[in-house]
Amino acid sequence: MPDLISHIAFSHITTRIFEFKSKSRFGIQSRILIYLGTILPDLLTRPIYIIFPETSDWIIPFHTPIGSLITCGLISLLFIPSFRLKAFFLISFGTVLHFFLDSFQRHLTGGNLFLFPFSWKRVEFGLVWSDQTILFIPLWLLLVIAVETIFFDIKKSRSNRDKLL
Amino acid sequence: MIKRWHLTFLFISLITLLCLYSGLFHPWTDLDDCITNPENHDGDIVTHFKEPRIGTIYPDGFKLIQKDGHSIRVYSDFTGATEGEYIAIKAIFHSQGYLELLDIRILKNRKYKMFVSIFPVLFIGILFFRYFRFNFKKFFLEPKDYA
Repeated sequence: MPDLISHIAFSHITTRIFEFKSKSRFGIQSRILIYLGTILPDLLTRPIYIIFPETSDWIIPFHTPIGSLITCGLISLLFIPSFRLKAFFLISFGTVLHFFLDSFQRHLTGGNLFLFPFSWKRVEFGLVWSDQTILFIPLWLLLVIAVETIFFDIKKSRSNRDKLL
Repeated sequence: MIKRWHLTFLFISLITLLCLYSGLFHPWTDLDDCITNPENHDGDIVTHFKEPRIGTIYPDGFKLIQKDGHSIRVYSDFTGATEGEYIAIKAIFHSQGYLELLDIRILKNRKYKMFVSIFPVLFIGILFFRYFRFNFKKFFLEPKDYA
């Protein structure tokens, strides 16, 4: 896994790009649910197997797309009925971003079990060693600042244009 | 009509089944399998360990220590390891009770990665409960400004 700062930075940038393309905004609550989704697969596995290593083979499903989808469904059931579907899609979208970023990692012993439970084949693009992702944190933070600056300028120019019209 | 508790039960059952499947039927051999049943795993390639770290370093290898306390001697001509570092390794198990190293990666930044990952969890946790509240009467999470 890349570290969780990289995951959140990536999901933040992606949602900003979506907002720019669609000219509509995710609310802060939607954004928080996407962030939650983006850290969820690691949050449900890493602390458990670091503290209890003997559980590592049993908690694999929480770090697979199918298992995450079920977990997202379970979490969304905690929300009020009128918000439930939205919560499910937003958290799921976050987990999709998580697995997308994970797929660029390189492991000595194989990659992610994206096809679980149908196959044990491990899949990854293998661009960056998993322990080296931390070195990219400054770059991610710079990207977030750059995207926010651009986004702020666009918002300002759009509101100026609206005032003129 | 499917009720909330039916779906909860369904999802918990599904995830439990998947956990059982991965725990019981995973295809890889881990070090514990080899230690428990050495004769059956002689010559197996082992790739799965439980939080392995480098223990004592010897001229012809090192001792691998798992977090659960199990340790095993690894023979290799690999140099450059430091005691206590996290590693990822691929090795051949020999029933005499040692591993022959095939490939190794020292995970130098792993401990820092674990450390920096704590902050985003705290950040999201604080943000979450600033914008959502748990209604204990109805047992629902709801956005704070939701009409």
